[in-house]
Amino acid sequence: MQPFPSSGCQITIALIMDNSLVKDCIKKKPAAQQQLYEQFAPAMLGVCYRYTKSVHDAEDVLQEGFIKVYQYIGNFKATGELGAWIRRIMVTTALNYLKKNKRYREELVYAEMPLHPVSDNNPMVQLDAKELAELIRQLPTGFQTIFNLYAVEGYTHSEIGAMLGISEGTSKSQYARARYLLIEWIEKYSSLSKQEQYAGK
Amino acid sequence: MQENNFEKQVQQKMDELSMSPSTEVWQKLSVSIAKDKKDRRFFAIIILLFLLFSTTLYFIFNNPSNSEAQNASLKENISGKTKSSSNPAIKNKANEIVDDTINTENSAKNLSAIEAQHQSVPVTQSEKADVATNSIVAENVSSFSTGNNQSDETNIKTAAADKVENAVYKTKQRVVVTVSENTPGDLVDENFGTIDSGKLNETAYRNAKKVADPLIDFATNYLPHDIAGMVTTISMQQLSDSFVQLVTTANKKELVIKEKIALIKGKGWKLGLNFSFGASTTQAGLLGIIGPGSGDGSKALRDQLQNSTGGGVTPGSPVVYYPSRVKTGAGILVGAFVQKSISTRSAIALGLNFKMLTSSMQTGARVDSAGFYTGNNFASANFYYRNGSQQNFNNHFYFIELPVSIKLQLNKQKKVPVYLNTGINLARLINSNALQFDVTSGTYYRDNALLNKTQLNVALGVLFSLNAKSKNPLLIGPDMQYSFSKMANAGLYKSRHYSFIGLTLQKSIGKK
Repeated sequence: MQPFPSSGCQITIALIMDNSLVKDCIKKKPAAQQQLYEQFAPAMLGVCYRYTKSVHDAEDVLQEGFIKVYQYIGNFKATGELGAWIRRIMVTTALNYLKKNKRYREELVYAEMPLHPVSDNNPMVQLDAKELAELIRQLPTGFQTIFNLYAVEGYTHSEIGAMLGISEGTSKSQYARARYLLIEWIEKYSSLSKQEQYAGK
Repeated sequence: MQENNFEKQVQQKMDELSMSPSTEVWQKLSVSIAKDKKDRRFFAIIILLFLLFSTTLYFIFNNPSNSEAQNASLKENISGKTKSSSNPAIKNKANEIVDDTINTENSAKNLSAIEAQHQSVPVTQSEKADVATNSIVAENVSSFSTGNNQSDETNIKTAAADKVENAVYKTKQRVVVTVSENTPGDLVDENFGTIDSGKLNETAYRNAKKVADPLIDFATNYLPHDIAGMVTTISMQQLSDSFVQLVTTANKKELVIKEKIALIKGKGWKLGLNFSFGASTTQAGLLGIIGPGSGDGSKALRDQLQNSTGGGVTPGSPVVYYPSRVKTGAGILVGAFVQKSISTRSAIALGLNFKMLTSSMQTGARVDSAGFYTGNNFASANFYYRNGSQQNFNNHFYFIELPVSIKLQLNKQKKVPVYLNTGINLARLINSNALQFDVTSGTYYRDNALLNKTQLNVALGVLFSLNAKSKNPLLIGPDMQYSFSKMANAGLYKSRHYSFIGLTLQKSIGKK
């Protein structure tokens, strides 16, 4: 097979393939459904993992999310990117899971707190993805959720407020606190791992 | 912006995050997809069957070709009922009324045919004579006109009015006689009375006269004698139509009165038989369609897995087996009931039913043995089935149930009464061959101790009466049952519920 002449062309081909996959999934062809799962499940489990506290819960969210994907795939517009659409479903499913699950619901408190000054500290994040995700998951559930929505998914504070039923100000203050904590932990984690490296040498 | 560097880095890192889900996720997901497809198909078939059934009933009972036959049957019915009276005076009056009714309807048909001819072909004298000869009403007017050889306005009006008065009188008499004959004396005036019938007749008479009078006036003032006779005939026809309407209304009223009388007289219980057949399921949620999704459907399995692996299924856990999907099976219900009317359109029923529900699953070969190992423990059993899909096993659940139901007539139609049949029933599981599943050994085994023996069900159905005029009409319609109680508190059927959907046939037996 000839290599694709440009990345633009590659994107077009990928979109066409996605569309044909979507069409087959709409027809409920088992092979297409499995292909869709295999194609997107690893990345989507990463998304679910960031919002939950255990792999088991993340897998539950992933399963529920894919059920919704198969159920509503007819609503997917061919002009959009399939991965992004599935990701939005996973995020929504994760939020619902947190609200429904008693363990998370109790932790999911968005108390109004004085706006923490935004840290000027912008450390270079030298952790790998899994390590960083682990640190994000150490945050209290409320902080974790807002941090994920703002910093990773790119939602605005007003959108987050609407999604979680909180004010824009609460979202901002919670985010600032989460960011502060996370930066502190990243720095601590980085220095610890450096010490371990030196000790190893 | 400096601040965004951190967010960008985090975003980039998180986009790279990719993890492999355990195989269990796809297994559960594929089971859920398959179930969803099957449930949708099942639901669609049920809806289609229901629509087909309703449409068939609608066409059977609303077919225009049936209306004439039904009218004839109505006449026969009325005639039969009144003629069977032991009082000769009543009998004669009834005969007259019925004959008049039939005659006036015949006249209407004759006149309609002649009127149609008038529109296309000029009417000859002989045709006019035919009208007079063939039509009973026309004959009356003709004989009146020729007999007196005059066409003055007063005589025609008087003749018309007399005819109507006579008809109204007869109808009044008939209603009064019918009521008097069938009702205890003290109830005649109080409950059914003749006042309503009188009002009814007066109204019909006034309406008929309103239409007829201007025509008769016009005919007598402005038309020649023979044409006036024709117009008067037509006017008389309109009066006759009103009379037919009046008789029909009286008949309906009579039926209502009879029903009330039957209700007063027949306060006792009436015996009936009940038979239902359809599909039964032991899925989670209502009929496995509405309610908790597949995640909850595998609750029992998850609990067993947690117990066997010490909490959570993670890579490296001991090997576990998955049970076969429990599929929908057939269901049959046979029973008897006693029913008592509590109003003209409602009844209460108590019964005793035998019910058999089934479901099916795939198993491996049967092994006759003293028991099997579940983890490190030995469970005793006379036989067990290995995990696999070599054979289809039907789980049977036998119940005896005591239903209490209320039947409400939803429509006022006499031809096809439609009833809502709803109630609750207490069921007792008397026997079952249902298999349980052990996740650690992949073994199917029988343990009825795990099943809840007592079940509280809710039933809902719609019943159509196929032959409403019969003494004991056959009722048929869709029926649904759902058990509020859980099938079991542990094992394969934990948190599942029995559901049944099917077609019910009901028939009362004995005297009305």
